[in-house]
Amino acid sequence: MDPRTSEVYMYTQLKISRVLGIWPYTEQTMLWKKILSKTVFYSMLGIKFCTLLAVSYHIFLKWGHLPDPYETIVVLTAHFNTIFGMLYIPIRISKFLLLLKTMDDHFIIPTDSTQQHLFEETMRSASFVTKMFLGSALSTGVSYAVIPFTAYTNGTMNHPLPFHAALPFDITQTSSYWMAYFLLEISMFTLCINGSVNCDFFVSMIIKTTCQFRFLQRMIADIKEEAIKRNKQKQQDKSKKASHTDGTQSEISILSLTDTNKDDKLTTKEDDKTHGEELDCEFLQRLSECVKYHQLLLQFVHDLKTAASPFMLFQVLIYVIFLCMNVLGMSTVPVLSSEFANTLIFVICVLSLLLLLCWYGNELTIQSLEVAQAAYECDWCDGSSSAKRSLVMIMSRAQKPVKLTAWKFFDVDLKMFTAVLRATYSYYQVLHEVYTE
Amino acid sequence: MYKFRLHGLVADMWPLIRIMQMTGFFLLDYHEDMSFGWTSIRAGYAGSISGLMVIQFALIFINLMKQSDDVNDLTANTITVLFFVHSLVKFFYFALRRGKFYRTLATWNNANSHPLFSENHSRHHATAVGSMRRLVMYVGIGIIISGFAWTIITFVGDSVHEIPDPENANETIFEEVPRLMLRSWYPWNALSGGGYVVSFVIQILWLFLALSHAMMMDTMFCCWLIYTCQQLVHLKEIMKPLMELSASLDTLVPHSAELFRAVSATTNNPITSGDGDGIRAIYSNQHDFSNFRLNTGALANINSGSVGPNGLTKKQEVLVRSAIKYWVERHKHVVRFVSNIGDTYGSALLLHMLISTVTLTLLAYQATKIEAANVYACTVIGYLVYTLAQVFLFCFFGNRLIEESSSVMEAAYSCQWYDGSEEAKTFIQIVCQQCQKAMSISGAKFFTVSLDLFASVLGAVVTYFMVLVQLN
Repeated sequence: MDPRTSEVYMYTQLKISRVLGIWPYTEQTMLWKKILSKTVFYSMLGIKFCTLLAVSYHIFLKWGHLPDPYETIVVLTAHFNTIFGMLYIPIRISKFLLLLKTMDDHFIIPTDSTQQHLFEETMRSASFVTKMFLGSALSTGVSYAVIPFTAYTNGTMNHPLPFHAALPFDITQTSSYWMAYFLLEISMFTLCINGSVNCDFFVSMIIKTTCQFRFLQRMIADIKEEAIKRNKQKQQDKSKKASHTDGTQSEISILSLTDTNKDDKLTTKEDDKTHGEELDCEFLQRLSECVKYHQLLLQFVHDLKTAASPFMLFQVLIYVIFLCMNVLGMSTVPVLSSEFANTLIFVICVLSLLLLLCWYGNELTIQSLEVAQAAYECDWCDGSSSAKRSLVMIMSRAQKPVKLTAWKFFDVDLKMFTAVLRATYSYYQVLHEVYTE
Repeated sequence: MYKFRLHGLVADMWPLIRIMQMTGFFLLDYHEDMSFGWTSIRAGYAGSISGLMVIQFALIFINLMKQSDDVNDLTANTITVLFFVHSLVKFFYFALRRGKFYRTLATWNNANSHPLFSENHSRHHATAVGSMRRLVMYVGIGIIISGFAWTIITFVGDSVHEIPDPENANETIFEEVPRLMLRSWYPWNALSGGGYVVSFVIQILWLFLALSHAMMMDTMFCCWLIYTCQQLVHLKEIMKPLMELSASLDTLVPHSAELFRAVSATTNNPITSGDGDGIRAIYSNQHDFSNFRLNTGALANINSGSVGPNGLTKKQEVLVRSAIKYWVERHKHVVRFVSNIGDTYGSALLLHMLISTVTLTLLAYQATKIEAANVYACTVIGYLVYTLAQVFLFCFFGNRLIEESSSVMEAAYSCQWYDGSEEAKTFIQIVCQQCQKAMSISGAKFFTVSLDLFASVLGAVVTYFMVLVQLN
C-alpha cells in the first residue's frame, strides 16, 4: 500500500512524536509499541512533575538567598515550557489530525523531474532543521550532565547536581546521590528533547507548506505549456479513436477530403479557431485547477495558524526569558569557567532555534508572495480575456502575504527575531544594573 | 405627535442605552414620551448628576493641592485624579458630541435586504445582539466587583497617612484620615458622626457612577464594533451562495439549501433604501419566488423569457444582479458605519490614551515602591490591572474589526468564482481589490486601535518600571 502523503512528508517528526507518546499510532501498529510509547510519555511527565516540585521546594527553602537565581529561573521556565509542549499536541490532537488529513488529500508528491529536485531540497532542509533541533537539545542536556563534574574537580561543591533542587532524601550518601543525579539528569534530557520536538514539528510543517507553494508557482508559470500538452493529448486521442472507428470508412473520408479542396482555406481557419478555443478551454481548466490548489493551500495555512499560534506565542516568550536569564547568568560568572560555557551553549542553542523558526516563517511569507510573480511569468498575452481576468484575481490575492502569527500579537518572521534580540538586550541591561552590585 | 419606534441599532443596544440614561448621560432621546415636561425632568436629572460628578472631582482635586507637600501623597492623589478624569472626560465628551452619537446609532435604521439572504442575515444579527448583551453584562459585573473591592479594601488596614511631626521636623507621625474610598476634602468634618455617613454615601454613589461613565462609553464603542464584525461575517458567508447562484448556467438548482430556506411572507418585510426596484418590481408575488424553491433539480419556467448571454434567463440574471447589488450596498453601508464610528469616538480614544499613558507612568513609579504584599501593593496592582483592562477592551475589538475586514478578501477568493459568470467574476475582482485594505478605527488619526497598540502600551509600562527601578 502506498504510504500516505503526510507520512512521506512528516516521516521523521511523526516517528519521533510517536515514540515519545505525543502522537497516536495508527490502528495497524502492534499493541506493545503503543503501550511502550504511552509508558514513556507518562513516565517523562511524572519525572518532570517530580523535579518541578523539587525545584519549587528548593526555592521555597532558600527564598531570599538563592545560590544561583538565574539558573533556577531558567530551569523553572524550562519545566513549564516542556509540560505545556507535551500537553499541547495531545490536547489539540483532533485539529492536528485534520491538518494531516488535508496534507494527505491535497499535498502533491511530485513525479516529474523539475519538481522532484524542489521536493528533495525541501526534505533536505527539513532534515537539517530536525538535526539542529535534536542536536541542540542533546548538547544542552550533555553540558548540564558534564558541568557538575568540573565543579566537583574544582573542589567548589561536594555533591554537585545538574541543577539546584531540594530532594526529600539526604544526598550525601553515595547511592542516594547518584540516584538524585540520574533523576535530575534524565529530567534535564527530557526537558530539552521535549522542548525542541514540538517546535520541530511545527517548523517542519511550515517547510513542507513552503514547498507546496513553490510547486504552485511552477504550476502557474507553466499553465500555457500544460494546456498545449493536454490539447495535443486530446487531439491524439481523438485521432486514434477516429482511426479505429473510421477504418472501414476510409474511402469515404478520402472522397470527402478531395471534395473540400476548394474550401481548404476556410476550413483551416475554422480549424485554427476551434483549436484556439480548445486551447483556451484547456488554459482555463488548468487555471481553475491552480486556483483550487491555491485556495486549499491558503485554507491549510489558516488552519495551521489557528492550531499553532498559541504555542508560538508561548514559545517566543519562553525563549525571551531563557535568553535574558542566561545572559544575566553569564555576566555574573567569570569568563572561561565551566558555568559560563554551559550557559553559552544554552544561549547559542536557543538563538539558533528561534532563528530557524523565524527564518522559515519568513520563507513561507515570501513564497506565498512569489505566486503573484509566477502568475505574471506565465504566457498570458495570447490568452482569452476571461483567463486574463482570472489571473488578475490570483495576483491580487497572492499579493497579500500569508503570515504565521504568534496568537494575534506578532508575526513570526525575521523582524520578530530582531525585536526579540533588542528586547533581550534592553532587559539584560536594566536587570544587570539593578541586580548586580 | 412624535411616534417613538424602537428599531435599528437602538433596539439592539437597548439595555446599554437604558443603563446610560439611568447613570445620567445626556442621552435625552429614545423615550416614548418626549413632551417638554418629561424632557426637562430628564435633562435636570442628567444635569444634577453632572454637577455631583464635577463637585466631587473638584473636592478630590482640592485635597490633592492641600496634600502636595509629601511626594507619596502627591503621587497617590494624582493617580486617583487621573483615574477619574476619564469619567469626566467621557461624560462631557458625550454631552458635547451628542449629535454624532445619535447619527451613528441611526446608521442602521434603513438597511437594505434581499429575500435570498435574509435568513443568514437574521441569524448573524441575533448573534451580534447576543454578544452585545453579554458584553454589557460582563462589563457591568466588572464594574460592580471593582466598586465593591474598592469599598472593601478601604476597611482593611490603617486609615492613616504620614505627615512631618509638627514638633520634630526630622520625624514623621501618623495622622488619621477619614476611612473613605477616596481622599477628598469636605467642608464638614468627615472623620466621624453624621459627616462621615454623608461623605461615605456621596462617595459610594460617586464611585459607582464614575466607573460606569468611563466603561459604558467604551462598551458602546465595542458593541458597535461587534455589530460591524457580524455584518462582515454575514457578507463573507453569502459570498459562496451568491457565486453558486451565478454559476447556475444549466437548469440545475444550486445545492446550497440555506439559500432557499422558507422565507415567511409576513415577517422580514424588506425595508429597501431607495433601490426598491429590482426584484420586488419583477417578482410581483411570492409565488414567483417559489420557482426557486424547488429542490427537485429542475428549475421550472426557464423557457419563459429569453436566455441571456451567460445562459441565464432574464429573471435569473436580474436575481443575480440584485444579489450582487445587495452585497455591494451592504458592504458600503458597513464602511459608512465604520467611518461614522471613527468620527464619533476617535478623539475620545485619543484622550483616553493620553491620560492612560500618564497614569501608567505614575503607576510604574508607585510599583517600584512595593515592598511586601500589603494594602498598598493591592491598590497599586488593582489600579494597574484596571487601567490595562480598559485599554485592552477597545484594542481587542478594534483588532477583531481589522481581522474580519481583511478576511473578506480571502473569503471572496476562496469561493468558486472560476465557475461563475463573467459578471460574478468582475464583481469578485472589484471586491478583492477594494478589500485589500483593512478597515480600522484610528484615534483621531494618531494611532490605530489594535492589539499592537496594547502590546506597545504594555511594553512601555514595563520599560518605565525598569528605568524607574534603576533610578530608585
